[in-house]
Amino acid sequence: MTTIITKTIAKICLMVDMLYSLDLLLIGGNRPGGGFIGGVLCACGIGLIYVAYGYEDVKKIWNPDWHSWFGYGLLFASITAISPLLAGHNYFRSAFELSPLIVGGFHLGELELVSSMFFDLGVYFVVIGGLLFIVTQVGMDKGKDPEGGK
Amino acid sequence: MNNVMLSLTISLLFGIGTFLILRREMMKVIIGFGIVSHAINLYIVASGAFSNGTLVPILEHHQAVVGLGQGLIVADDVAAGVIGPITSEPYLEFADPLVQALVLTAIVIGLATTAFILTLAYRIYEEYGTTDVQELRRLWG
Amino acid sequence: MSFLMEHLPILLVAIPLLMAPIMILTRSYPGLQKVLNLVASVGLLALSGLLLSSVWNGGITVYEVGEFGKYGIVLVADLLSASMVGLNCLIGCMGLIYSYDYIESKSLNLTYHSLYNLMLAGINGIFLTGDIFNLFVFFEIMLLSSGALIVANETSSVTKISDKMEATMKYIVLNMLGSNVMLIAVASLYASIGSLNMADIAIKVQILADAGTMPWHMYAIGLLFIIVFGGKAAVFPLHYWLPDVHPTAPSPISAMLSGVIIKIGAYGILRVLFVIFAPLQAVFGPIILMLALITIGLGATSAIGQNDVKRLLAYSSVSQIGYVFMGFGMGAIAYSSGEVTGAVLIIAASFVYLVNHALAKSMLFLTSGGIIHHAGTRDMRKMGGMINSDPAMCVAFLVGAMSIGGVPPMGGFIAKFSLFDAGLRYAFYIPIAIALLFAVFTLFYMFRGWMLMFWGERDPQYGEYSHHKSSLLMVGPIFLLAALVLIFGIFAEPLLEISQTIAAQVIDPQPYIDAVLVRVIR
Repeated sequence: MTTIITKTIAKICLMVDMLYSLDLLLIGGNRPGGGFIGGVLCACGIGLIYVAYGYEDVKKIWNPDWHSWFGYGLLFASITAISPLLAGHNYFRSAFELSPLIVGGFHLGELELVSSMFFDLGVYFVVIGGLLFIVTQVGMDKGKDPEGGK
Repeated sequence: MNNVMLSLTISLLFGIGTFLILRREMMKVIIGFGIVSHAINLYIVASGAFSNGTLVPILEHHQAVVGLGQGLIVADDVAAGVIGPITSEPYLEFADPLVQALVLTAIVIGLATTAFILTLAYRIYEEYGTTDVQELRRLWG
Repeated sequence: MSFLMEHLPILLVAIPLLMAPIMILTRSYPGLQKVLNLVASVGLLALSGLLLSSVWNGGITVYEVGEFGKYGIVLVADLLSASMVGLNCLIGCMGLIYSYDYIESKSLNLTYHSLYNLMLAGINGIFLTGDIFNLFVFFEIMLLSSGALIVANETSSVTKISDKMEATMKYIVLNMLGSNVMLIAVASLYASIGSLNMADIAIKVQILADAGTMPWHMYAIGLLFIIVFGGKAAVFPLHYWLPDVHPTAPSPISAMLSGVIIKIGAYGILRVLFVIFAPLQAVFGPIILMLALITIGLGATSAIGQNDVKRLLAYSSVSQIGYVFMGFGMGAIAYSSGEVTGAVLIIAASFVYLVNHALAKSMLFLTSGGIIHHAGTRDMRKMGGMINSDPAMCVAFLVGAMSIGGVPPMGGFIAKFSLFDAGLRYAFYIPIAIALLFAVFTLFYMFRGWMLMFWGERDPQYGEYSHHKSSLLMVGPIFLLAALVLIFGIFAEPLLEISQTIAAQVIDPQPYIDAVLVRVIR
């Protein structure tokens, strides 16, 4: 799979892919999108890089611990869900605020601030972490797999 | 017409999925599960889509009894004399939003299950050297 | 304190859900992980006790998740849910303490802790939720985490990893099929009723039945639910995955699977049959009774020929869950023929059976873990004479075997006695006769296993027993559960009393419906 064409395409794809996944994450409150689908898209982009360049080569440059990404995402989402309890509301209650967006005296519109955004962000990391953890575990060389060969 | 096409699509997907689940190859079983879960997702969406104001895919007539107390969830619909998710006259182009939320949840769960089962199938392939389900017989007795 | 009481139902789900990521992030500190998880688990046990007492004293508690008013998901803690949650937290806590010494340390701190918490959250959610789709979601959480836990490595490598994977494949594939069926049932229910809230569905089904316009496919939906919950509980046509999965899982997970997870099916049948489809009981009662009787016979006859100790216990689980379902079937028949007090008695008896079986069987699975650890094999023919080398396990297994076999003064005797007594009082002679016959089989296979393992001498060709004694962390939970089995046998009165109230609440769902639907909306 590591032809020059795949490598070039993968690099271009990653940029577009990341931007689109962030867009999906941010518009998730009101329009189709959200943390899950954004995370899947982002994971697909990074997975494509793994496929094109090979796991070993990518690992030398950039080797995040996807297991912890999963953990941080789940922790973030869980804390977002549980935090309304401290404010005297029920679990999963979300807050909603529209604030005017003024840059340099110009009124550009309304900025929508939703607390469920943080939950979406947590889900985003959970999905990226979970999918890429599986991809790296399965794609690892068999000899170097700590679980393998048993 | 629309409902007929929808039902045919759902049944076709169910058929293909069931056929694949009954195969011996493990990958085909997993793909079959994916297809069946998509058939079910379509089915859920279909239960909230109406071609005109009254038709729900599997229930045509609704009967209700009035006279329940205030503050009941059921009171919303009973006041209009209906019990199912039926839209009122001016909003014929209406799709039930709840079923779409349900499908979203079902898709997410489907992804998690498929990811898990694919990893498991890979590890089984490593251990057994085959993806034939009939060969998995070390537990038999 | 009022904060705690107000948010009690959700805390039982939210705390394990919060612990799961914390366990992932602290995986480089195994000691800290163990302490944190133990504290959380004991805390959950205390909270579940608090929930049970508050429901017992203050009536059904309803909690709105997300404050969506009348359209949101609700958690409902009635006595049945609260006691099932208590059972889950108790067995979960015992299993966790046991696994500290039983599970291989690498597997323990990488995945086991977090998945265990997820499983507890899923099971608590299943018992507490009042929304039928939410039930499906919690099912999936429980299914995936328990499936991944079956693959966890033990310190004694008696069960091969390939066996575990094969068993997990079987478990996941069959339960995924069950989940798909459940999704179809939920979607059909929503399409015909227009609601997902269980209490709301119950009212509307009652309205349809009273008006005589019950659509025919409601019967089909009810049957789909019976398939789903029957599959989870391993009732006859769908029982065949259990004897492969429960023995291959590590012992604490086997204890959870046999003690709590197959009881989820029983809980679901109680909810669906007696709350949602209450008007259709005349149809479903006999079906459940027939399936349960076949399950009892099949499980008991298969268990007699087993030489693998955990497989014996697994087949015994199949047989025993049949008794619980037999009670439900008889209760439904009695209720639909107008005998309301009879139905209450029978359901109460089968709930006593359920609790006693959960305690005794999880204790037996934990004990079997100790035995395997000691003997280095699962084959009972290769054991023998362990009464000298491991007397603690001998006593524990004897207590469990007596309870499962129904010998006084154990809890199992009270359970069997009250079930048969209630059944005979309302003229279910043939089912009780079959059940009595297979109760003798139960006694035979449990004591055959005990004698094979502990009496006689070990054949020298299988070598010496390992000197590795079961540690205190393993023996402690076993003896605590054994003490509970004994207590429920000798002081059975409180459990019987609670079960009567639970059964009355299950048979008459009106308080449940009122609590969910008629309430102040925030």
